[in-house]
Amino acid sequence: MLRDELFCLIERVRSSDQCAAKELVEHLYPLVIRIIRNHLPRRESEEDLSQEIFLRIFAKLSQYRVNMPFEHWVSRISVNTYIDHFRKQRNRPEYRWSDFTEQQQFLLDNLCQNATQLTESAVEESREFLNYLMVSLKPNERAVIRWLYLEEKSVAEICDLTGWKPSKIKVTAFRARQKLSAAVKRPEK
Amino acid sequence: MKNVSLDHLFAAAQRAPAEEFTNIPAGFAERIVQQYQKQQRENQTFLRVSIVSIGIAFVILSMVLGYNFETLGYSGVDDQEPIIELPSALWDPIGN
Repeated sequence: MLRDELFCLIERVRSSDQCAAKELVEHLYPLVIRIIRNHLPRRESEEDLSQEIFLRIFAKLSQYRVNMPFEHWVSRISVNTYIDHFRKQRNRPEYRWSDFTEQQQFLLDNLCQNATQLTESAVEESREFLNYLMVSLKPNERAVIRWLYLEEKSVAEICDLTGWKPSKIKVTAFRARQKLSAAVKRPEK
Repeated sequence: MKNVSLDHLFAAAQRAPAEEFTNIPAGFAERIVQQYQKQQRENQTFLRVSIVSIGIAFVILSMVLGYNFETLGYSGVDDQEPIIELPSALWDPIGN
């Protein structure tokens, strides 16, 4: 959708046009669902969260100013809603080496030894294991780790996506790395 | 602090294929629009009720303050019976 078409659509939504509102949801759905899926620890409450995000987008649409790309504005709302949604979640586990199954411990050892020659299943298992580990992180830490290390976004790009300051992103990433490092650290015999 | 396992884990997880995007569920956009309209109606009702409540509270408060203000300037002398007449009225055996 072109920029002018998008602004026209936004204006129609602001003037309570139902068809335009439906069209906007359909247009934004891929962007919002990609953000949610990338950051949800499990496939839980995907629909609830997407509804919450869209309702917040509509509620704040009057505050949107054209000097910012609309996609950035939507992703900021999505990320903040996601963080608010999971902030209440208090039961975050704290993993240590002894908490992992033999298979997971073997995977970590194998990663260190054969980092360059990994099978497809090992790659899949690594992603699953990382998702499992990231449940122990706070939602903002989880998001920063994903952006920095999995999607390889720069700090500046994350600033655009979230509206956070670079120092906050760096500190959050450092803390998250420390937690994950403590979890995957093999105890010395 | 450089942790080798963690960096390897990130590198391996990064190579996992991205999930395929599924289409928007049927009726999703309609549900969102309906919910938003419902929310707007609720907000408007809440706003109206709040304004009416504040108005009523203001009226009650001004009535109470107005009543108290009237009693402030009132000395109470006119309404009392003369002190000298009172005992005789109480002790008059005939009751005249």
